[in-house]
Amino acid sequence: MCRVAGQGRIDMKNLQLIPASSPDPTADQTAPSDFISIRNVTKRFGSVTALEDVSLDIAEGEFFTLLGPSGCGKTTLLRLLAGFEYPSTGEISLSDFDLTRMPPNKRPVNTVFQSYALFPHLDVLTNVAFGLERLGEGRKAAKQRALEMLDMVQLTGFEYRLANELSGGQQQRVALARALAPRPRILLLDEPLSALDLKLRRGMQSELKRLQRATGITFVLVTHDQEEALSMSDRIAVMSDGKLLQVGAPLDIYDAPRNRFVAEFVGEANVLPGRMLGLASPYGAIRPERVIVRQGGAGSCPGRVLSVVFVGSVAEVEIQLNTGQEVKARLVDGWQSLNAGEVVQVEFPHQHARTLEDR
Amino acid sequence: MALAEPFTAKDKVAASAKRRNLIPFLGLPAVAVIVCFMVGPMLIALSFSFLTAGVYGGVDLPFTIEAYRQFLFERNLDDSLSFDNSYLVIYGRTILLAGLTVVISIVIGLPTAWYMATRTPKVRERLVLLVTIPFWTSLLVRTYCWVLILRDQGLANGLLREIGLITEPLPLLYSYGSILFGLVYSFLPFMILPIYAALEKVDFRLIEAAYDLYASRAAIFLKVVLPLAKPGVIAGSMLVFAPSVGSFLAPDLLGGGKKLMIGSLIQMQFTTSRNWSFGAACAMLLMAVVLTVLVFAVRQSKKERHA
Repeated sequence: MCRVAGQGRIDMKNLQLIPASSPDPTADQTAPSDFISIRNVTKRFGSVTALEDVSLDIAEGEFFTLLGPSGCGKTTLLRLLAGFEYPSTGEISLSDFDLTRMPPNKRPVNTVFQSYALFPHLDVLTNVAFGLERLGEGRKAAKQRALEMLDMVQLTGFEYRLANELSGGQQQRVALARALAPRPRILLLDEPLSALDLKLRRGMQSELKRLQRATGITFVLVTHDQEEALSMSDRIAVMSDGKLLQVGAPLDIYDAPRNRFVAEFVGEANVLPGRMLGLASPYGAIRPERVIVRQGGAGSCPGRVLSVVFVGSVAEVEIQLNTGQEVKARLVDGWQSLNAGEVVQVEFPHQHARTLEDR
Repeated sequence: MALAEPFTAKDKVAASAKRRNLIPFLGLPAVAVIVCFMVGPMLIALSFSFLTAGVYGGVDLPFTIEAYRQFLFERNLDDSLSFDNSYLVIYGRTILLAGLTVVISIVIGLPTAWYMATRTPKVRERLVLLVTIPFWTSLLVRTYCWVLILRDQGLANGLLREIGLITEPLPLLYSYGSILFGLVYSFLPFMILPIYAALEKVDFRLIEAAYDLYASRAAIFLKVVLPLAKPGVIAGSMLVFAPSVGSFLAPDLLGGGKKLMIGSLIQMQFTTSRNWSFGAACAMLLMAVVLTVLVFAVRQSKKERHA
């Protein structure tokens, strides 16, 4: 049992949060608190600032993704949630429990590591039962639960294999089963799919989503793959240089990027001076699939085709505008007759242009 | 594989065919080394143990098992034999001391190796160097230094007297304790280095994973670190046990030769006692003991690997 002063306790066998009994039972409902709450967290390693004043709320049962390029601080934030590092300043809480400096073995949070980190000296079943046994679950009950978990990740029959006798995809499933077995309140996933090949990754994406729905556990995923983030998450936080740039649902992030970094990191974007897109702001963005290209004729925005690349469902056409900017268009049809060097007219439909903040 | 590297692309096919014919003979140098330096001397010692001891040392014909008889039985004046356990006591004492040396080395070596393995690569390198530095000087010199430190007029007693803790010198030398101390001192690096080698390869994320899965510090050590260090502990135990059993420097210099150990016994037979065949027999019996322990240890580790 881990007591938090005046705030109830965490039942360290079932990993349940037990709030302090309040005299007024309605008090809890009138004061809804966020599930995970990260308040003004800064993390410094020596002179390097990995996270700068990050504040973020994550709701219970949410599939939340931290998206950003390598070195943006997303993994550091995940490690702060796991307890492997403590914030330099700021606070992290879960419901009403202060997690800020709680060690990893005291918080009801489990991690799926990027490298899986399966115990090489233990077989699959013992790996999965490890957390339960440490929580004081009986050997038999822990094994029973581990078997259920292996069934859930479709690894029945692999119980007595050693970790290094499994393929990458199978190890991934064992890591998932091991982290889910103790029924944590939060599951942290550190780029769990990056080591898998493309096809396997697609399969695991839908499986992760299925597991999250089935268990109802809050998932916090770290990835640099925007497609992964967009397809799986309920909400996404885009990070860069240790800062939180934008938090929102996948469609919001894609459709209304707040600044240039988000526009260009999540999907592709043509970032142009606002007046070219009919916007009042100095800068604006438009997605390549929204750009219209017409052959010949007169228009306000002439340019020359640089290249036409057929990539499958569409063709990517690069155009140099007469004003100097390079623009990318993604065309479903009408590109077959375009040739490099050809003069074209480009149009940016106003309803698809998005205002960007400076930066 | 390195041996089969082609020198030019043109010669590749012909050369590789030629090399293939040579493959059965490529192991010859290794076989020669093993025969000349390991099997050969062993066979000589074995044959010596079944020969009659020469009066001025050396061995003579005829073949006899007299040396092995001497190990267990004393020949009385009337030529009858009576059981004599004095050599068995020496063997028992030696195995006990060597076993204790192994245990103490594990207790000291494991945390030391863990500390070393968890430093930054640069510090690690230096620490490994520090552990190996004693090998650069002769064990005889180093053991004798301990005599100078531990004897009644030595550094340790002098220091204790200076700060007023004692008036009479403590008997630090010439006991089982001092022999044990000497053995642990001599062979501790053989324990530290293999454990360090095993722990150095351990992915630190495994420790984090265990911590994440609700393991306490003790559980992390028992359930993760110790099992991963085990191959190193087993290798280290063999490396410490074998030379401890055969050691004669520490028992002679630090034990004062009063508490005889197998190593000293054997050494004596080839020098002062001039009983080469008995010395060879003792050595053979010692080898049998060590081999038995090693086979047992290897079997045990194999069994656990398959369990």
